[in-house]
Amino acid sequence: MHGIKDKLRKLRLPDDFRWRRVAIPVLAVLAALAIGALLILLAGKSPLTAYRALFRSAFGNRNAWAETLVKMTPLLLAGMGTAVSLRARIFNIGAEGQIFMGALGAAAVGLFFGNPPLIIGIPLMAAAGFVAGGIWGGIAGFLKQKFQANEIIVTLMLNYIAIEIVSFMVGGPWRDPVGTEPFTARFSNGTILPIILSKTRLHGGIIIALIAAVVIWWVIRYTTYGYRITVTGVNPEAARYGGIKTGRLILITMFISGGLAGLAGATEVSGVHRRLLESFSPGYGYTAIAIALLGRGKPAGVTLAAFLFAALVIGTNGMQDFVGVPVSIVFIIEGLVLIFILASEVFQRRRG
Amino acid sequence: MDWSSILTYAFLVQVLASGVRLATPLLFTALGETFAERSGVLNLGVEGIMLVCGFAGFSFAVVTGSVWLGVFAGMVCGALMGLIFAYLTVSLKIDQIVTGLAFLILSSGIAIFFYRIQFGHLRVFPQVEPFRQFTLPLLGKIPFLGPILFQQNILTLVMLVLVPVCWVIFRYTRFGLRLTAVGEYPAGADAVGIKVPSLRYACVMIGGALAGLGGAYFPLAELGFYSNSMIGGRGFIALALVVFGRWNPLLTLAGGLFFGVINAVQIRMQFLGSSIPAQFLVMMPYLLTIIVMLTGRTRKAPNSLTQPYNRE
Repeated sequence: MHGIKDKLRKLRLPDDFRWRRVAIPVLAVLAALAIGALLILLAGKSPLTAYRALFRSAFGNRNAWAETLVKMTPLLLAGMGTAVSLRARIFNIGAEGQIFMGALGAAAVGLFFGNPPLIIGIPLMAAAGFVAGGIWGGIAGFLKQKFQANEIIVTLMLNYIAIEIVSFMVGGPWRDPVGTEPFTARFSNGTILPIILSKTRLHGGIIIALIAAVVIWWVIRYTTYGYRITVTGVNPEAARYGGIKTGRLILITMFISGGLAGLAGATEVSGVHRRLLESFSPGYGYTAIAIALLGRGKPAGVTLAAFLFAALVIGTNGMQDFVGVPVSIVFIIEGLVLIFILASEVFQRRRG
Repeated sequence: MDWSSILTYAFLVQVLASGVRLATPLLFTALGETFAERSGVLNLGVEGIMLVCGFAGFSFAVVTGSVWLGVFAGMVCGALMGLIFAYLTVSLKIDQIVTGLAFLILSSGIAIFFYRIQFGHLRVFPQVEPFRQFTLPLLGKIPFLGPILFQQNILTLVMLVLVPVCWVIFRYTRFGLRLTAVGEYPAGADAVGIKVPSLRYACVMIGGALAGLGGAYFPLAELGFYSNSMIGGRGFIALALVVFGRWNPLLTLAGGLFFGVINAVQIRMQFLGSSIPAQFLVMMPYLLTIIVMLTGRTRKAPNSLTQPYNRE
């Protein structure tokens, strides 16, 4: 008897075998979509028609793909931002506010730097977005390091404050005098991300986002800074004994984390709206949390998760337009995906 | 703005009274969270629970025509969400913070989705007649304190009673001492025969029910209608109040009242057309919350907070 059991055990795939890492998120998404189908029935619509609309809106044609990639841009950047902090076990849930501040920084360049050539204007606009978002994240990092202020509550409060600041700027000092709504004038041409796929809205932001993801992957993998945040995240006590200055690390991590979210805001206003307006983010910063958790804080995982959730956002918008299913179903699906993945980890642990 | 004409006795009473009113939902949620946290469970999902229960309470009140049934539905909904949270974090031992964040995202979807399904087809958005303010006999007639504390709606009075009741529960009852023991030293509590998981389930469900009451307060006692942005971070402000109050209901009350009054002043200033832009006034409660969090170093959280209990 024991011999057979041992043989069977040897036949079993090792726990870190790749397919499991792929299969579990896929199953979690399918399970969440199944519950979504029930909700669609509850809304009095046909799940089949609705999901067909979802798929078509996200992947149906060239324009659909472009829209999905447009949506993926801020989600990937903000998701990477949240993931970086998560690796250090800092819960930065303030991506939303950092997105708004990043957009504000980008707008400062877009509105008040004359009309630089693209080669200067775009890097300047992006850098301003990164720094503005980074400062907003850095504030929370500073308060955590200096006063041990809980970063979850502080970053969340900073979200509301950032939204109010942007609302004030676009409604007051920076308001376009001839605009009918509170928004700024159009950015100068040299600071607007060019369209990279003709007759669609796909702008160069996706390239910036993918480059950022690769850079972060490289930083995490090959630099001492990356090693330090990983160690601090896994075991802060050991990190401190090992001579890592966790205080400074928190500050830098929050700056980078906020900076990436800021870049998300910058690319969004520059590439899509070409001006700063009040409500340009339908909660990208909150979806970013789900993306970072789903991608387990790893750049490749986060990129896949950002693509998936971008398709989901575009798809559910299509479901609302063509079938009449409320678009807020996307948050239900996101939340369920997270809970299913977390729960599946528990059952794996038990079986293992 | 001419301050001398504004800073009158009547104005002061008015601002303090609306401060107490505005503090009410924060304090319900904070009191509930104190139960959960003292037993060792951090429920970051209260913001979401407040929104879903605000919707559930409102929708129930619209359908049945009774705000009381709405309050009841909000609390039941909160207790059920607490049950799910407890299952995930106490039984399955999933990371409490991550579960809380998942709850936050999921809840906003649930509330907005079901509101659209239930009321989206209506031309005029539905309303209920909210709880009215009334003057409590005798106590309401006390000069100064009467109009501030005892000329309120019934839920605010419930809150004012609940604070000392919770304080007594934590300090003097078997249940209160046990839950504190579980939060501080679960292995020790277990050794003397206290059932750690059931106690945590109970505390998280009480926390959920009270957060549900806090959420239902907005449509049923404050607004008379439902709005997706009605909670607006107040769940997280309540979490900050728990820390600020050092897990003690009386201190939390003091913090909550301070918040309420600042908020009341801010709203009044918008109303009076202050020269400060409205956006900066709206910011004040959030800024204040950050300032409150700066005192984090001096507060000692329950020992086992966020730690699942594994029996050795």
